[in-house]
Amino acid sequence: MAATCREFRNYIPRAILGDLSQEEQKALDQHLAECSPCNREHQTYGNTVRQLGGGLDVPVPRHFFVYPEESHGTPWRAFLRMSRAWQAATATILLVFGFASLLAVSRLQVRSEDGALVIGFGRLPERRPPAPQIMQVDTSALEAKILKAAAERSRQDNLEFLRTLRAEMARSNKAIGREQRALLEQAINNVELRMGQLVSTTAYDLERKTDRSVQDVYRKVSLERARDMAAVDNRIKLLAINGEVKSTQTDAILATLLQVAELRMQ
Amino acid sequence: MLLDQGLRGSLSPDRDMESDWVAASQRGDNRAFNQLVLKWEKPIYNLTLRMLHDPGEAEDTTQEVFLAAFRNIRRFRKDSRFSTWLYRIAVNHCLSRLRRRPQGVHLSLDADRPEERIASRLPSQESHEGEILSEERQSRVRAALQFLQPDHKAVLELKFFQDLTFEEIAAVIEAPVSTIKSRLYAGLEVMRYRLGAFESDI
Repeated sequence: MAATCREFRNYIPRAILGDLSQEEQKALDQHLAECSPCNREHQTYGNTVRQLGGGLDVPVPRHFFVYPEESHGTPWRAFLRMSRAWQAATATILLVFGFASLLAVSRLQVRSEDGALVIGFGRLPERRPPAPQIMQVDTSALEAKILKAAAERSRQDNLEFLRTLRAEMARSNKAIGREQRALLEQAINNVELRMGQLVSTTAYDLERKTDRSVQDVYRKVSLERARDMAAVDNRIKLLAINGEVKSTQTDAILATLLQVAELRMQ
Repeated sequence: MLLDQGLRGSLSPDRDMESDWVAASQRGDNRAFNQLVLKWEKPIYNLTLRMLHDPGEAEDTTQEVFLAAFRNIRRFRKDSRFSTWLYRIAVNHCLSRLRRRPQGVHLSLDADRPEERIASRLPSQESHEGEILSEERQSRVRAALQFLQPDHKAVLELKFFQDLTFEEIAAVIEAPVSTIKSRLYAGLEVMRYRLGAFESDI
């Protein structure tokens, strides 16, 4: 093959596709008129391209319509459809989130505090000191309870005391003079006064020292009460021993006094 | 009704109508998109058929191409032609399928058998001599195309069968025109040795 032929062979496919300049096309046409091998090559290329031409399309075997429900893929398919960069970004974000949530779950702490849930990561905040106002509510209930118990107990004691007085009166059957009567009256008043003081002291104590148990308070009340009772008892014994003067009026006065005491107790 | 509209669309290829369909599809109207399917399914199916040389795979790929187009239609910008965009999706789907194939499968002799199936499945509109010759040419050309590198095959497909210009092919493939031309001439040379000896029936 001549050097010119080799050059024109490169022109042939370009000529077939109309990719030659006017000068190149002209030169090729001149060469083809003179060179039969190149002319045959040109025809071969022409043949090839004609076979590749149109009219080869087959009908579609079916339609390729798209329906909305098909167009939504699973998340995984959506991920596969992403470009590499987006896939990398999504994977990174998911990994970071996964790691963060793992860390969060491993450090999660839950504690119940005063009926409320306290949730924290790592170290929980310090436990709050018990609120005093919450205890105050308890105190009022406790106070009422104690007062009631104390009142009940002192009523019992007072009844017991009155019974003792009656028994003593019946036993001794002695007249009590004005002086003794005053003493007795004072003794009974004193008992009542101290009872009232004790009750208010107890209530005050409860307000101030809430940690004190009911039993402690009550034990103190009982102790005081017992001391009072002993004191009154002594007084009565003293009266009974010293009571020499008899008077019919004294019995009546004492009875009235007892009635008054009984009424107060109720 | 859908079919009628589609046929009218394909018989009078009105660019404005197509842009209307594209705009409606971008708003999520799959009926409008199906008009585009009706208009483009034949060229796209034939492109995948020649690229993949397997009717079943071509059918699957064509459906994938239209699904992908529908899913991504919002990303289509109107500064390019819809066909260019659609061809790009189709070519990329075919190339990725060819890349996934084990080496040498596209040169296998078995590849001729599906051709016979396709030929037998074709509705024979007129059974005269020209038709038979045309069918022969079809299978010959498709078989010859399988000797090409996938990249070259894509360029030849777009140039000779889809009748695009060099610039349009460059837009589809996203490569410079010079690259397109060198691929085209390299592919054409292979075809010349496979097909040049046969007389054209046209």
